Amino acid sequence: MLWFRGRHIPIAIFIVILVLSLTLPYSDILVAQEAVLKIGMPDEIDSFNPFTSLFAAAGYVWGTLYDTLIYISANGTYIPWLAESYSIDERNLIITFKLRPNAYWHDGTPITAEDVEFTFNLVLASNYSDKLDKWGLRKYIEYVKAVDAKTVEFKLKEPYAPALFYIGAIIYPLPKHIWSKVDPLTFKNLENPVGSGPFKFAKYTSGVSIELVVNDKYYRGRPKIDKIVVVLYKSTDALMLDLMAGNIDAMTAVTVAPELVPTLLRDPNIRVVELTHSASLRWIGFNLDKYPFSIREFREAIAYTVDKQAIVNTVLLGYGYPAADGWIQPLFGGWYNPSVTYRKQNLTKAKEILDKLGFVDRDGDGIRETPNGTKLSFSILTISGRAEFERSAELIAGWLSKVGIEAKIEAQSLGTVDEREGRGNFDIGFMGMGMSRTTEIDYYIYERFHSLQAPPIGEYAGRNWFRYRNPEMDQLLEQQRRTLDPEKRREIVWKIQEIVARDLPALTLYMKTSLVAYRTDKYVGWIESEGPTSKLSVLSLSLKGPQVVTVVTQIIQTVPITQIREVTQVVGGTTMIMTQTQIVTGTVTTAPPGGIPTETVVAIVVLIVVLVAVAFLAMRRR
Amino acid sequence: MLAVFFIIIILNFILPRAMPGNPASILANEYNLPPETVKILVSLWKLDRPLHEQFVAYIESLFTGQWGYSYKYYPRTVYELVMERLPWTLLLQGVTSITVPAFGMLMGILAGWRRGTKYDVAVTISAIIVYAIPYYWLALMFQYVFGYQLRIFPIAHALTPGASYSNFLEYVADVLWHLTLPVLVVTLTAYASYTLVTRNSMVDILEEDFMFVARAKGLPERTLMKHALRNALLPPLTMLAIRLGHIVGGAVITETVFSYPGVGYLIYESIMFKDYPVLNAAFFMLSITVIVANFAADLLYAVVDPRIRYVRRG
Repeated sequence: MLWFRGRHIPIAIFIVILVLSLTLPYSDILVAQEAVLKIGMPDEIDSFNPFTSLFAAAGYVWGTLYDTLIYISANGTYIPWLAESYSIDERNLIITFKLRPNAYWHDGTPITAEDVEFTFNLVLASNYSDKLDKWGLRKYIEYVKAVDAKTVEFKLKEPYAPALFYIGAIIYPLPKHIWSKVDPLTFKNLENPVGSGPFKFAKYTSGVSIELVVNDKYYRGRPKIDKIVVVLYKSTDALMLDLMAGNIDAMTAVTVAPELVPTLLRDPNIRVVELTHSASLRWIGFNLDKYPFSIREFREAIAYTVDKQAIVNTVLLGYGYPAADGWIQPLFGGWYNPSVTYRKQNLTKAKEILDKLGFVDRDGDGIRETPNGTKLSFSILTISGRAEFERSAELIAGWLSKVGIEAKIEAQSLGTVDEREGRGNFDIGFMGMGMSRTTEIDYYIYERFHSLQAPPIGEYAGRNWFRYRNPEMDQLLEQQRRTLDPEKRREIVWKIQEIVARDLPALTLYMKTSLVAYRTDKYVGWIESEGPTSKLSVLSLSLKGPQVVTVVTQIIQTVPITQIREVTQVVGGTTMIMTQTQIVTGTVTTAPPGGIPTETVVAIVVLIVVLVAVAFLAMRRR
Repeated sequence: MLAVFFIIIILNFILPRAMPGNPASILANEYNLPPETVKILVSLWKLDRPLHEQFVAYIESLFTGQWGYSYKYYPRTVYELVMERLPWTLLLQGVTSITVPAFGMLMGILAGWRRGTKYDVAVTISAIIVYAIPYYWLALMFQYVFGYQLRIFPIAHALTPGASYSNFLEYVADVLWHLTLPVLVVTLTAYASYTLVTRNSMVDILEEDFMFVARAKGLPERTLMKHALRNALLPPLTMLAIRLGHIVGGAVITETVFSYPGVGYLIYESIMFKDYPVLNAAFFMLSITVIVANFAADLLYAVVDPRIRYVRRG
């Protein structure tokens, strides 16, 4: 009976693991005294080098480790941050920042104008400039100069509206005494990065977490939480389960799938909120260098076949809204031109336009032909593995077939799609991108619609892969860059939207709202309007005090919980962007009564048992 | 073997580059980078150089230094990325390379030995059912039941995020605690093929003439078992050798579902993003272990299979 002895081994191993696991909770007790905020994120860490790092998780961490001169709040307000104030001269050519007198790097060295000068000179005037200047700033900035220890001056070559955004909010000032000794291109900054932000680096465990501890000497006051643990995930399912189990307090750089919302809301300690400042735009782009997409009316006919609201309702389960035809969405507040809405589905009108163009079905197969006899049969190129894209594309193909246009869906890998669109080897391309109110508007329009970005077919086009070429548009795009007066610039941006909506180089479909969830049982002070994990929100968080403290005598003390909902905005100097009233308001969905998933588990287990039993009986009868 | 090695090195260079798409623009698309950045990345990674120059650089990076910089994780080197993950992969794969065949073969031997009994039927049917369960589904269910409902095992990761350990034993315990669910799920979903193969070969061997003779001679059960085992274990051992060859390749699904830091996910990512240096290093490593494992399997046969002997000639 040799095997009976062997059978004990797995059991023994299991018991050993169980016993060892009992020793674990002690480590939790040790840290229970501290206010540790755990934030889940679906990514890994590339580096903490703000110049080369691309990953969302790393970006969140170095965004917490370092401060920028200006912080842009969710409604687009420019808040002086590491800079105490800033000013722009009347010719719109010199921007001056005054740094905070009490600001120190994490190693205790004061933050000076020299550090700022050094950082910007890396981008503007160093051996590394051609690799570090991702924003093309050298074209617009003449020089950067430290006037005195706390004052730094930027001189522009010509008025450039996005300058304040890039200088103030995108480039992170770095400590000169560290970065002058390294190669900024290959410096990983993973071991003990020295920053300026509210939290200091403590530890990085590859594939698991990054730990940050509070910066006691933070110039805006010590944050009330002691430690942040950024927890890295490879699967969103595990992240959501950990949030439900209370192993993490919040999530960032990932959104909640609409299907999950009811499950999450069943937990009274979880809140699901819609981010007011960011959402994702989806669109179909037309290959304008290809007949018949080169005909504006034809594109308009396609626009009339699409029912944007229906896609939102079926594909997004309502967590989104139809996109305005002019590319810029209501999300952007005042930049959005309210007179530019979207074309509602009108199949009769679409058919009329097609008839007028001479695109009629001559051979009676239900598909229209162009006047020279080729069928209106196209492909919609989309990215494989993105169910949302494919479902939307299928709906569009269905509507197109109703007006006599045949559309096949081609789902290919991101690399292939990108290459084919870039080189103009497609008919209709389905694409999407995230949009944020805190990003300069120029970022979304300039390269997207400028003819300089539209090389001939065969050459790679980055953003303007529709190959939209319109001299009027080019002129407006240049003009808005040079206009610093917010009112005048807004007029130009509004005009751009009208032209995009008229010409339809791409048909915007819908905005997918970003849903995030966080737990309310441990911390108070979440600022939902800014996003629960934003810097402003994290800085206002504090540990939830005991709600009722019972003392041995008859006196019952109640400690009130202060829930901060308003943001105190420190606005010094001039604010560039006007504060508009929010057009998109965050909504919190209430919990609908739903089924318990445990029932599903039980049902599946019962099913398996029944199957085994039936099979067993069947074999025995034999 | 040397020829195979060289073919691998050359294919390793050509195949990833034959896939459509440019690594820089894929990254740009994923992370919303402006077109200017794409140009910078292309020149940084020397993708604008002619292919033969890239090939020379590839060979150089393979035999000297750190296998180059990863594209996606720039400026981290491939060596650094792989070494961070390899211990976790070896741990997870090593443990399951023991538990899966051990459990699977044990069930198979028992079922084969008692062929035709209720026990045999139960083992075979349950193995077929378990074999058909999708891995990720079972993993999610285990996470849900043990991690969320019962809270006895962690849902994800190889270590508790943010934990501090007062001694080494606590660290080991934490590692094992996190290892339990992945190992359990892998074992449950992968053991079945070993069971079925072992059972079938066991049944075949037991029907052989020499077993009939042995039984007729009145040999004790224990000796009969020994004779049968020696022959019946050859097919599952071959399977094990193949499995060991992929040990450094990691397990993409396990690592993804349990957010376990391993090489598998890194390779998956590098395919998605056409991270050539990572891909090259990973497949280089993988092919070497496969060659070594196959070689080891050949040697092992000599020990296990009574019919094969390496004879010194001359």
